[in-house]
Amino acid sequence: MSRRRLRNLIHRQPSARPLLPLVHTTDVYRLTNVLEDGRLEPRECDVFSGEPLLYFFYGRPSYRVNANEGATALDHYLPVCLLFRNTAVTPIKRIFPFDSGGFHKDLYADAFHKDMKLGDFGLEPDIDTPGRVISLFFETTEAYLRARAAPSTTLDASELEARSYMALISQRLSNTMDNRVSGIELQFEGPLMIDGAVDAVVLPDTLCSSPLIESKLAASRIEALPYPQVDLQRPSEYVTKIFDLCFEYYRRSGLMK
Amino acid sequence: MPHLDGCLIIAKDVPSFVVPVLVDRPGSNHSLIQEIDVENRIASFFEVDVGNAYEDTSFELELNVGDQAVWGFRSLNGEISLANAVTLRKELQGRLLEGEFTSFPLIEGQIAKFCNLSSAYASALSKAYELIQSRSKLAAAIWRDCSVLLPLAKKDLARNLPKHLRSELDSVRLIGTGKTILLELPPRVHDFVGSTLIELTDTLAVGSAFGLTSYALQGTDLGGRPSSPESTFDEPYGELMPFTGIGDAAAKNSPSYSRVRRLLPPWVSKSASPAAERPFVTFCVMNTGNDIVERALKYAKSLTDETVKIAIVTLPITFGTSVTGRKLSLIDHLNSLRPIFDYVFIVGNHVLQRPTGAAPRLAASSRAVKYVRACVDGIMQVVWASGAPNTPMEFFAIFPRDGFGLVGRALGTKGTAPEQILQEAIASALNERLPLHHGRRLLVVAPPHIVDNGHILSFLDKAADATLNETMSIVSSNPRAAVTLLGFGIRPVGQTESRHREFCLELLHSRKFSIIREAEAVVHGEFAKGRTIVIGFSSSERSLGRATAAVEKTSRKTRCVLTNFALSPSDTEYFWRQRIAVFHYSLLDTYLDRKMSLPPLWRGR
Repeated sequence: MSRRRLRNLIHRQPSARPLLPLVHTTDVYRLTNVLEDGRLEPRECDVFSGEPLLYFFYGRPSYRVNANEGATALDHYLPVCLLFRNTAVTPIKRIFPFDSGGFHKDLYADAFHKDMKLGDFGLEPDIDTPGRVISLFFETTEAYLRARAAPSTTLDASELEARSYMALISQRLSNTMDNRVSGIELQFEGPLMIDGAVDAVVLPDTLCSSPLIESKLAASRIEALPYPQVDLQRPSEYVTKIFDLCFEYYRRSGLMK
Repeated sequence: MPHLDGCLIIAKDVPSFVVPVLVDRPGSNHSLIQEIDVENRIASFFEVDVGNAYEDTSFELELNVGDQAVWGFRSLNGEISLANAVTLRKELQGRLLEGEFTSFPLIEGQIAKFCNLSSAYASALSKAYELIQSRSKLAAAIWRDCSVLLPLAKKDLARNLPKHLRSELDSVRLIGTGKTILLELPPRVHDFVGSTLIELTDTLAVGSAFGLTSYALQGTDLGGRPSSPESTFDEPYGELMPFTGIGDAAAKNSPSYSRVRRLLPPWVSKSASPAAERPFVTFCVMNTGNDIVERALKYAKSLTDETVKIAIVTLPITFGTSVTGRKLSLIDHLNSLRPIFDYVFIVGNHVLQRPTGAAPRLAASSRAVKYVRACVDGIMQVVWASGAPNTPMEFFAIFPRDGFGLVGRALGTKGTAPEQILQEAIASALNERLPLHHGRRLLVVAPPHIVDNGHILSFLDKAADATLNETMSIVSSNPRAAVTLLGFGIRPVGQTESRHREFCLELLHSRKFSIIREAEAVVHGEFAKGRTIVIGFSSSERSLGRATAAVEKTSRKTRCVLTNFALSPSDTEYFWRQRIAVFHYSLLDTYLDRKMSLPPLWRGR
């Protein structure tokens, strides 16, 4: 049985504002299918097997970039980030304060006790929950987006999961842009219609030149935020560009200072 | 040794660079991508799980670390060229200069950059910017600043910084405003560059393609203005000129200091100056007083044709009767504001709502301020929206100038249904002389979750079908759950009995009233809570007798007559003795609040 200490602690916190978009990362080929079908289909994954799900990160275009995790997936090599309205993804199935895939692969073992289970970190599946996590562990939305844990957070000794999570997000990782450890993950059972649900999409500029893609995006009133494709040879080279695009979009939409 | 197996094609309806895919041995599932160094040699291979998402190629080529890297390009007709950088440059340069890619400026830019053709690159960037801007100004500005200039600025800055500060460049922000590139720097970087001479050569060279010819530096935590020069912004701006206290309140002026308020896009710093010399829109907030109208007209005459001139007129709380007892024809009177003003918006909403309570006039003034602000904000949201009109003529082409304008506004909470907020906004925009459905353009301004709500879209469709309105919606930059409704080109109708009845029914409908049966003089109906009522209508003291007689003939217990003139308390009392509540339509909410048990009385002037 899962423990509810972290869930209860988070639930008592105020929810930081403003609410951020929910970011779903996919690849260039799937984007074409999604736009043609008008919906995002859930997919099977290793962590919750037999349960097709759609994954989102709260506000952050977080995804894996470390080559030492095996082959880089195409959605990491040529990523497309769909920025969903936070009201569009409902009902939320599960929320974790980190990437559940990383937990499953024991990437956080250094910070967590070996008896801790993924379920111990499950949070209230409510759109206000990410804001509550931010209030407690990051203080501000901007600090969360920049993966900067609040230095002054004090936690009771009995809050084992919260203290472990704090230790995890305070670590200085070798690749600081791989910030999935503190990216709040939301799961949705899907499928999810995209019409009226997506505000913007970050995509390679080649794709942005496609009349087919452009017409579909215009029809769904999705802002296209292109990043340059031709000078990119490794994912790590354009992670920063994708972050910059997302953050600038938030700033100019009034979500960040 | 890895050999070439195929190519990742990003889009088939665009000529574009493709990504060569290699496998470590024939039949292997391990797909490899080259990591290319600055000398265009293969630094390493890394594995990418591309599945079956790439197309096979017939090129036979084996590659190893240290070899010349292979680049690929696919033409619009599907022909793929694979070669080393030098060979592919030669080929693409010729095709670029022949104009093969002119329809695809982003691709043209990629090729020009790959071929190191700086003037072609600048020209392509400029065309690409215009193309993206035609779809969305916001996306174009973000693309220019983040995707094109920011990486260059970071490289330029890195050349000037000691190693220990380079890691802080992730937090650098770049904003193109006017002719200036404004760089927001983390404090330590700002402190360093403030004490040294830095050269942003590459950034400025490319920035000039967008008309950005200078730069300014600003520390992110310093909160101050950029050091030099003063920042400017490209977006259009507006001005609000108050001629009344309500105008001053809407402009947030202090009571002792009336001034023109400049309306800037919310994402622009308040200290920034507009690149445009004149405001795109000028609002004059006035009332119906002759001297005020004359002052406003004089001011508007002094404005050039480059600004859209909008009068926002707040109506007095008169209950349709002037102090001297004469019927007012205010709307007709306001025709004198033409042709100097392009648009005349009538704010009468405050009169409609409960002129009772502790300080009815103060409350009404406060509501008037709300609607004036809603009108100003709604129009500025249009001006700043993606694909907004660029000139007054374009603005006039979208928004008809004849007739009058109306504004409605409603605010909900997180849980309020969008259709309810819209309904309240419509209710607040109702006007006896200006039927919203006689307008020519209806605009809804709201945050995305409301604008894209199925009920709202369906309402706009129905409004477009059933009325003279063309409908459109704009996504507000303000995330609050609120709706601003703007009606354009609304022609006034006469003050007739039939219009009074139609208007009262609009008003009743917005209060969830449904008609059970309609007779010539009265309407039988019920409110949402189920109580049935008979309602008569009277727009003049002459017709009041007929209306009350018709209502009196019915056997219903709950009976009322809605007038558009104020009754004395003794007249109200007289009719109430016959169990008929007779009152001005603006008191409807008070009547409903009292569960229709007493006729409401206005507090008087």
